[in-house]
Amino acid sequence: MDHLTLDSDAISASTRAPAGFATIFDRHFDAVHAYLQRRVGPDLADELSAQTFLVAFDMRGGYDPAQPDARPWLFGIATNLLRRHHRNEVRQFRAYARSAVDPVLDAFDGVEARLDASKMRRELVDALADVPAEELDALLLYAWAELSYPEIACALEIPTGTVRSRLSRARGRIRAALDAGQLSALGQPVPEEGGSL
Amino acid sequence: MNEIDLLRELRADLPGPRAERRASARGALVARIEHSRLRRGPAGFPAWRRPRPRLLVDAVGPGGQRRQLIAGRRGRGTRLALGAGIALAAIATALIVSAGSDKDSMAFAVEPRPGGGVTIKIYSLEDASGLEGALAEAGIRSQVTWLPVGKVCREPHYKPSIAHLPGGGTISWMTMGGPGGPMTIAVGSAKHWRESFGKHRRGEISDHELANVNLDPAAFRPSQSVVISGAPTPFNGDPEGGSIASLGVAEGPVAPCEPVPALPSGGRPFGLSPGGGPGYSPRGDKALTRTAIAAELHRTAAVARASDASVDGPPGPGEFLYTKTKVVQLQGWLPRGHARGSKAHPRYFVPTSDPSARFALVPTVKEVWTAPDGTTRERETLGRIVFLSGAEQKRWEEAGSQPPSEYEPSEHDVSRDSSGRPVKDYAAKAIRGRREFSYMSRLFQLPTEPEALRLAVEHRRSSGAPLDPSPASSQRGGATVEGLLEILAEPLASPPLRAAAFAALAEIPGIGFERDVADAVGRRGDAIAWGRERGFGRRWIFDPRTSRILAQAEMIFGPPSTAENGVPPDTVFRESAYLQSGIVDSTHEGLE
Repeated sequence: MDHLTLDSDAISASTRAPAGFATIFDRHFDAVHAYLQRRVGPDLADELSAQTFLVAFDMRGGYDPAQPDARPWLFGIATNLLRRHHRNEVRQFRAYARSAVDPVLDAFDGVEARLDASKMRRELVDALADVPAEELDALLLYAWAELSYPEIACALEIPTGTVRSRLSRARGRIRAALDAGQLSALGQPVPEEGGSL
Repeated sequence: MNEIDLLRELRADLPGPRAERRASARGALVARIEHSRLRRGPAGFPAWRRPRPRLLVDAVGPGGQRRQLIAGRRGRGTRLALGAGIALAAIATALIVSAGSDKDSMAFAVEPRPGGGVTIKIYSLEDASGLEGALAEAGIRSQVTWLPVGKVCREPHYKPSIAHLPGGGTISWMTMGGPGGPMTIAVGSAKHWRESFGKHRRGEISDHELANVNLDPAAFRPSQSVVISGAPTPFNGDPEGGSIASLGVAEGPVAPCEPVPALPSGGRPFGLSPGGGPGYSPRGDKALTRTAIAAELHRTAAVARASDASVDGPPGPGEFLYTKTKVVQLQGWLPRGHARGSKAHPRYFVPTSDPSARFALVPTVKEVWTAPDGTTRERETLGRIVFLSGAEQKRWEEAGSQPPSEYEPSEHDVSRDSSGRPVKDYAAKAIRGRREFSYMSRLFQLPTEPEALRLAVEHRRSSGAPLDPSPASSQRGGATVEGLLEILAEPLASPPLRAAAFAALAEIPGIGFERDVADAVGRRGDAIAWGRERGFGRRWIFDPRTSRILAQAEMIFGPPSTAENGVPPDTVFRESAYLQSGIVDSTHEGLE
């Protein structure tokens, strides 16, 4: 509808006239769904994204009106809902790395699951499985939801500095895993975790 | 390839949500919303109960822009709207009052209003003649037109007028829009309105039972009527999922509505062409000869002379002239580490000519209350900053999203409005620049003969010999054109004075003319444009139907200023759109 209206206006208006909250759904559902789907597959994403907006509606009274864009807030709620499914997510990463078939892709009707020939990608998902949940959230909000550092800070309710350090730790882990993969492919000795890389 | 790029490729391009799952998620949310209404009961009534100003001319024009301008803000417009009976605080969502409805088959319904009178709930304008009948039965003459998607009535097809509202204040015209819910018009006496208002205040009826607009048949002269037109609008992927309707008050006969295409740019952020860059051409229509332009201006002078003197005099003791203007400015902002100014108050918004600056459009809404002695209270509300590209916005956010720095607590009373936007508030003395003719006492002494008016604007006296006007491109001529236009922009300028100003403009060589351009809030009109030295240009947009000035813009249209400022040609760097003006009875407290 009118994209000139700020999300914050629509949300504060909806504390008096709740029907207006549907605007927030219409603006952001697809983005939230896309993010959740990328993390846990389409079926769980359907459920969690619907839930995200129900939770958001109930919590709208506490929305910070200084935040014009509701996306960080919504992604924050979605992230909280994802927490319970972290173990599941890790299992899927491992399965992907092992079998070269991405369970997320495999879950789509009509999308043919293909064997992923990229060794590097398999190493990547294997590394993702080892990234602690809170670092993974920051990393994927950055890479997949395309939030900026301050937006991630807002979503996770942590200082921007913490976002920066979580992201850099997560990236370091992945780089290390990828480098190790390349070294082992060349027959070089693989440094132990915590080594000098 | 780094790990982030690798990650971004992972599971990219997955299909979007299935339509039925999306619909069911939305349905669940709507059900939760409905449930919360039942649980919460009627919303509490905020502090809008004060007496209302006696006049407010709503000058906001076509295209539903009004909705956006006053969305969610407890500014003046919102209060006018509420006093007028518009149901919800947030006009942005005003008509999303019922999602999904079993009344789809019904065009409108007439129901008794709690407190007296009737409420007409309009679900669609398709049964136009039936609705005209229902309004007539309630005591209001009307013309109702239902238009196809993307069409509006060609204006003017009636003479605009003003009617008093039962709750105080006036209505000239308004626009409403949204998906789904009905537009409601309540018709009844002022007493009925008070009863209904009281019931709402006591919580006996809820927000969404209030009408969007309240009309009192006794406030209409026999020659006055209401003109309603509406069209479906795209919403949520459905090309006809929403609708937009406007309601105007007419004086005298109303010609049939002739459908013409609606302004395509309506609703797009100011000054941005589809490609993302600023998109205006200030050069005037080259096909028009000087004679043709003069004829247009003389025609507009005639419109001005015949116009309704709806604002008749200066504010008296205890009264104020109220004006509301949207100002959109192209400003430069600096990435972190480049800030200017003191450490305590670093400035991140700087002139665009700063070599490290990037660009953003900064909109503010400026409200001014002017007392008879010329002292003012001014209030500025910062709107959402528009970046020239998504990449620019991202850079700005990554730099820490510093807002424009002029809202400094050390200089002004700085606060936030109910929707969180920064507001600065200050009192000012009546110091007007020398070029400004707008100061009230002076305005009423200006001659209403075109040449005498021009000479007064030029601070010259006729010495017997004719003093020909200088061309608009010269320094003196440009200042004359601007001085005349500033008079035209004055809400208190009388019809003869405005006619003289247009007639004086018609005599000035070098004025460009543009037909059918849009202002910063999407209103369409004709424009007077001319170039000045060093590649600067000016454009004033006016409504040819009423002769009212809608907006004025300053722009850079060529070298050397394009090079000096690092902007593309035809960049508008400042536009002021005049939204509302009128006489009110009090400054801030009385308006809150």
